[in-house]
Amino acid sequence: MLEIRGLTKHFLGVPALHDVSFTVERGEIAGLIGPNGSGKTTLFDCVTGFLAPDGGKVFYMDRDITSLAPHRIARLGLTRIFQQIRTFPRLTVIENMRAAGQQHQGLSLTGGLFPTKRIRDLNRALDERAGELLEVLGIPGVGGLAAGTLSYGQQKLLEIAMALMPRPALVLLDEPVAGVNPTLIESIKGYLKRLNKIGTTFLIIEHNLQVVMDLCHHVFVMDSGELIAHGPPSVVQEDERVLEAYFGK
Amino acid sequence: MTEETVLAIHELDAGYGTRRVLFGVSAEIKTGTITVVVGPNGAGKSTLLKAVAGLADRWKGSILFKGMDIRECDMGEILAMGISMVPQGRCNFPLMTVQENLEMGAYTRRDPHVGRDLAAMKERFPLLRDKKDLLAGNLSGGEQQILEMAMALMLKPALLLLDEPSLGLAPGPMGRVFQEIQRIAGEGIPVVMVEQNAKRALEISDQALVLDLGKVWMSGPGREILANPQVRKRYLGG
Repeated sequence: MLEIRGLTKHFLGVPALHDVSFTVERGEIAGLIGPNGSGKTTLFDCVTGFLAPDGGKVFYMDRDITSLAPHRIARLGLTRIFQQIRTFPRLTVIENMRAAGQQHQGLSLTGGLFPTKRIRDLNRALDERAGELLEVLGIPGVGGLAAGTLSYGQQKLLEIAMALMPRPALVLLDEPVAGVNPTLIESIKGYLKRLNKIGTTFLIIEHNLQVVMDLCHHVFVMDSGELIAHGPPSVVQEDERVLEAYFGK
Repeated sequence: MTEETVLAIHELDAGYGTRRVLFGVSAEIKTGTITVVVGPNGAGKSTLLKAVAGLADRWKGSILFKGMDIRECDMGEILAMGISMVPQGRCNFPLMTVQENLEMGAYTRRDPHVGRDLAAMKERFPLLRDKKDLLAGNLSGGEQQILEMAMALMLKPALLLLDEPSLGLAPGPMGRVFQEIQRIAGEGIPVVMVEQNAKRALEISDQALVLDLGKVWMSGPGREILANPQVRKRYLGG
């Protein structure tokens, strides 16, 4: 579903990614782990069009998406969440989620000003889906609050909800459960598994190894901008290079 | 070291604008101790830290810092008194170098020992020495977190408030951050931290507060809270 070929990126001459290649198969939950600064987020940025790679190619469903604009990539069904919060702070939670859902249905501002029945129906469907997602993510009561007034953890959950609004085919999650209460982590894990069962593919950056081990079918390990190991979680967990890179000597 | 109360919060109501987040929260923080605040997302944990630091509205109750009520003091005054807060996420100055960030950390200090402390800080966190000329924005997330903590320590705080110090850290650096927190407390500086990596944090804590819906749901010694089956089920994921 996602194929990364020889991806390379430098920042002021400092290599952040060096010749990284791997494939995420349709229907799997893949994990991307590695120490802080190993290039994981840079890789996400290159895949989703937020950064132009210096070399290499990205294929999504056999289509070359290297250097496509982020919104074009999103419309193809590949969404992401960020490590840092990116919501519209003055819009309500529901409005944020509607916006996330609408973008991908090609609705425009004029459509919002002069709503036809089709658009009203669409909006109703979006609201229903938004409500359902908020329920699952443990924040059912916040729909009417301005996103900026939510706590960090709640905004993180809102980000996940926004990424899932358009029913994407592939979702890149950058530390989805950082700052999330442990009990809620359990239910988020359950939800991601359910979505995966009905066909959503995931690539997840996560430092919480328990989450990675529980969720992922396949794990890729990066260190210093290179892919150093990959395989099923149980195998990767035992790999000497991984242990050294991840936990230090 | 004798333990004395550094911070005493009594029946505090706090929030933002018209939105009340904390309802009658009380807590006591002693020298050299680690207090961990746990609870669901949106329970008011960060707001509690912000209320102490002067970043949230405080309507009722009292916040006694070294015996003086700071409820009406603003952020600058509170900072000058020695309460240092490391906010959630990474908030350093991304377009300034690591060295400049550390200097910014000491911005309110007027004593002649800033240079010496800067050198000591780079000894303490060698990665900051190695990367002192890099832009802070080019550090990895974990490195920025360490930089934030070092910036807070540059103020020589009498109380350190940490909002999710382990956020986004790989297991290795996370262990080092927790070690560092224990070391800071060992030097006598009380630490209050919000942490979702709750089990790990509770293990090193002296005291824990469980917040839910803006109220203290339970409090007690860290290990007791950690062992409490109800807390485990509701807040620690079993």
